[in-house]
Amino acid sequence: MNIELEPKLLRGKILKVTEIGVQIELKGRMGLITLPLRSVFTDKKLEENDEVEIYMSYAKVL
Amino acid sequence: MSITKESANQHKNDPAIVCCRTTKGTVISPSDLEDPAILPDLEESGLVTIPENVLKIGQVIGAKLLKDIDGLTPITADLLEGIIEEKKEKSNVENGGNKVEKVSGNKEATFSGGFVRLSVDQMNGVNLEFPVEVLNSGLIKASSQAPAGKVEKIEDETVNTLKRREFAVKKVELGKETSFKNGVLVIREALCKEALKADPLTKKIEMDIITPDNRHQYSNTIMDVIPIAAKVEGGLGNGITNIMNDVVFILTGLDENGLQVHEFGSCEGYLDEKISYGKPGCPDQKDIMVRVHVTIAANTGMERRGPYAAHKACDVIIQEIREVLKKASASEAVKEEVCNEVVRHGRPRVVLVKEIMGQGAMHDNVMLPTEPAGVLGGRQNVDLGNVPVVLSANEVRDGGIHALTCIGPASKEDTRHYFREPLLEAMANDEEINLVGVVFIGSPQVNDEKTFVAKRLGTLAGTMNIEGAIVTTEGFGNNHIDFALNIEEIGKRGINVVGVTYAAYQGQLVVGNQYMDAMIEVNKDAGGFESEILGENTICPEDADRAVLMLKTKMAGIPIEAADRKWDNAVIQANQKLVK
Repeated sequence: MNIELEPKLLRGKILKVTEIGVQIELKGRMGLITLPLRSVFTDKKLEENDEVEIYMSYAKVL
Repeated sequence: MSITKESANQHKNDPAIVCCRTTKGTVISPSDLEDPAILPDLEESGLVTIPENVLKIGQVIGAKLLKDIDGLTPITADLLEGIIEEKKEKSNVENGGNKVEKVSGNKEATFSGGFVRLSVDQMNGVNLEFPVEVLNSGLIKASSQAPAGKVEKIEDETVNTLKRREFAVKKVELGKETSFKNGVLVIREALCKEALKADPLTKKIEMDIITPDNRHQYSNTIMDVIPIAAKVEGGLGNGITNIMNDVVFILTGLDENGLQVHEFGSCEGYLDEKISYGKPGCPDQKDIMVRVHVTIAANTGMERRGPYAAHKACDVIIQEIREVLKKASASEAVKEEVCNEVVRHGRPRVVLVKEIMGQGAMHDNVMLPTEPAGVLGGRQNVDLGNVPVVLSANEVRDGGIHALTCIGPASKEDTRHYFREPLLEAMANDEEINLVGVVFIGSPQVNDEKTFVAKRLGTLAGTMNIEGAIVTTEGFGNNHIDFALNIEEIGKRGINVVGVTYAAYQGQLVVGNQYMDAMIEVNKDAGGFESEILGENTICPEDADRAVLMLKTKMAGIPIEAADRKWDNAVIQANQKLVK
């Protein structure tokens, strides 16, 4: 079965900021992700409820 | 990537582009050509620009190349020897088409299924003449042995009847005893404590009444919207059912840690903002809502048993109301509707296939409970291995499905949605088709299980002697793999299939096949997102009308124009205009 995954630009909200990373809840029920701080680009200090945008697709098990 | 001879034939009217470097003197064959299916991607990425004078695949096969060309070069007439320019015949549609003076038959005629098939694009004053011997030839005799030769008489036969008595509810209040008199429903408040016994995982139950003028109230995730209906006579799908109008139950849930009972991202918020009122699965504008809020054991919100416990507890409360509703006098009913199950002899047999979630946890449904839209007595599709189960139209109308599913709120089909499924009504009421039943098929988590259930569906459809099917799915994600498989398994048996789903921007399909050429999009969100507003992107009567028209169009053999590559609401609007 040829499953084509295509990333989509989605919005999300930062739920938690720690010293190592952020937890983001994606809108539209696309899940929760945790990212290291170096993966987040920002002009200001990260805070909870900050809105972010990110390319995401479904995940396929290999 | 070269293409096969079959593919070249299928795409004979698509642009011819060489897939690799091709040298002078080459006689163009399908293996020299690029797959037209990926041309839009190549164009989008700027690798190919297709000129207006590009030749079609059907024109270039067998022609000799005059010079060396690089891969991905569009083939134009100046590159080939002896190419015949396509003759463009002027269409004369406005005057009823070009006049056909004489039709000379092909040397080979095809007879199948007892029909002689003749297709003409436009016709006006056509005179068909052929010798009578043709009808007496061996070919016709051979095909006339097929049972299709027997013409069925066009008549309607009612095989089952369900009577629905509707009672108006003007006011709902909590009190000491459950009763229903003069349009006032009183619900015993102590039921909240008693319903805890339904399942040890339910820890706390609260209940309140929300009137239409007081909806700006915070609510936890809405797990389900449940109608109040009770059997008075007969079993599910026949006899008499009493229904309460103007009131619905909404079930909300949290776990003991304060986590919403939900899939990732929940729809908690203000009730006036978080519900698409009036949708089949939602409360209507004037409905009173009885909110049952259940707190379940910590960390069970994402397991199968947790949400199920909340549904069972809510059903205990509704059951006591059902008992008083059963005793309501028929004379007090504001409406009595008779739902006939009609076999429309002589019309194409069609089936509605509803894909329901079956990945486990709250992605589950209770089928055929004892009471309409109830829980007790039913079987869960996950326990049944998600295999297809056939329900009659009246069994569905009579609350044959209680949805436990808690997928994205905008696209989830809850219990009330199945109770008044618009696609079922559109198909059952259309006198040009013969709806034979509704197949519910689960969507398992793992791909080989998806294949297993889809093949069972295909075999089932093959035995039903149907000409058409509409396949629907709720939500988005890996259930779209089942959706594609289900359509393929039905389609490859020569049955016309129309697919209905939410996809739009966010839920774009990840798989496809040749049978997915007639699709209905049910998105209503402007940006094409899962809007997290309950019921917004579910099937509504307008979507159902488009789906039925598309099925009838496909069954009539009229080609369905290919969809744009990306979701575009204008296509949907244009199709909607065709319905009326």
